[in-house]
Amino acid sequence: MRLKVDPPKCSGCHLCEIVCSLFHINLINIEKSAIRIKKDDLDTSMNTPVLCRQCNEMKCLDGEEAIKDKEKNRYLWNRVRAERCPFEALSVVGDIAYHCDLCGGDPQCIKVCTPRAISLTR
Amino acid sequence: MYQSLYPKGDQPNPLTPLIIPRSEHPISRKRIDEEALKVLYRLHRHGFLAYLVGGSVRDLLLGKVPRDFDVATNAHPHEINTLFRNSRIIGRRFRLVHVFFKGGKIVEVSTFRSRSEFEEVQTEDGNIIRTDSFGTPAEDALRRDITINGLFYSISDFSLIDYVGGMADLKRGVIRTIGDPDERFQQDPVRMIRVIRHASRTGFSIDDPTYRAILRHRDEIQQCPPSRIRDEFLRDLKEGVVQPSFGLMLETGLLLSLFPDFQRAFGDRSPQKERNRQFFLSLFGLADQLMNRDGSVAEPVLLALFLTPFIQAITPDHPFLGEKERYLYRMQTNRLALHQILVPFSFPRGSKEVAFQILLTQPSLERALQRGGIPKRLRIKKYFREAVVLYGILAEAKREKVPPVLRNAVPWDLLPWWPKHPKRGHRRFNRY
Repeated sequence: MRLKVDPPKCSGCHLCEIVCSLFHINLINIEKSAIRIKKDDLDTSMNTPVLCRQCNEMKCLDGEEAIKDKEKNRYLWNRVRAERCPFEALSVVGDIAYHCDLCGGDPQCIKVCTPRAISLTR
Repeated sequence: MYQSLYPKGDQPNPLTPLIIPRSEHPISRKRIDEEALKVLYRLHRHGFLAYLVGGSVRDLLLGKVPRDFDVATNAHPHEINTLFRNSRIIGRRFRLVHVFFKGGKIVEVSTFRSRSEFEEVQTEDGNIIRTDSFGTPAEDALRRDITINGLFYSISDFSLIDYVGGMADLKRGVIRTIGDPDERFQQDPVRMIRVIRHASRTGFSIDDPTYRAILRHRDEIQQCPPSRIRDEFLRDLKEGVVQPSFGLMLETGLLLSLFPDFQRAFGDRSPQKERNRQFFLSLFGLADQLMNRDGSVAEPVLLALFLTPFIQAITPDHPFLGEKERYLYRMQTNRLALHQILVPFSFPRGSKEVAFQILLTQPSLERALQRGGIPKRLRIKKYFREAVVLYGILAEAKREKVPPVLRNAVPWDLLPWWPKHPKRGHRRFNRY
């Protein structure tokens, strides 16, 4: 199960970021959410939501003796893992990285995304 | 013999230099440039003090071949000018004399000064007065930036004169500012770049108080005139020791103070901080290799390399864009990066434009190589060679192979890490 994003549909409203941080840490702080919307510097309307791709071969855990399934369900990761990710998919604040745990199977961001830019696939 | 360094009564003891006789130092006249010796001897014969100063003495002591020889004397610029018919007084505020020789060789002769070129003295109205403030040899040594550059070689008895402890620092392998580092960096923040350049050039370590002063004063560099920063920076880029120099600049945070936009790629908020830093340093490691072999690398290539991590950090991937839109998008992003990073420092326009073009050519080159040939419209570009150099450096940094079709389109020894004797078959390019 993973979240699929369709960037052309994204309106860049940041609601997904807000709801993600609110759900996990009871705070509205878009820097501390597992999903982030990359806007470009040219002021175009193109926005790209970025979040963990739930890869089968988890490069982020290279060199660690971690149980993959257990780690997949954790929201707070560390910076080292974020640096290993080839897709630069995790948000980092200080030494903490924020990883998408799919809200325990019921992703909140999908519920608030009115343009339907985020969807759940298996 | 000389005027006292301090006003009478203020300091009991004027500075006494350490004098190292000829028998105790390795500098022989054979290693000094013939023309520089001529200048030194003529000044000495006419009763003036004549010292070889600055980087040339340091390089001679380190066993390197100095690039240029600077002479300092107590003769005034017009006196030097009358002594040498082949000379010209240059500079408006900081006057010195250039003595010209055959083959375009120039020996720079300056008069001992008490204040540095860039320490501006303002009158009450805020006007800057001329900094031509002649002084004694001791004052001249003390106004220089780092101790190992403050050594004098006297032509009268071939001895070394050390007012600032430069000899000891050379032996210890330490870069130290002359005087209090805080004060020196406040007077002229560009000295921080110079300290880092000298440290990377000589491989010496930076003295601890000096290093800590850089950390304290790194943000003051933004107050310097951009043109001076650009000149120092371009000098840095062309030195052939860019990798250690940028390594130190990243370590001290000076690079991020100079170019705050680089926070996006190298700052603490960037998730790929370490990877970006390593990639950036490896790019310049390869550029250094190329520079040490060829003597120089085209300025646009260096500027393009410098911009690469920033462009990578600001360009999000838009796979849904069509080919033409993607090209236009890339063009706009490159233009933005160029504008944000290079325009404030007014880098030469020609280099900037070529850097922009070769950055823009990279994806086209990659696509062409995937198709198996280089179209003629690319090969006939004036900047094709630079574009291939940039492509080669980027590919090597990412540990990718460059297809033979590209290596065959340019001289085979363009990059030092390419195979030495490629088997060159029939050269054929796909036509589009």
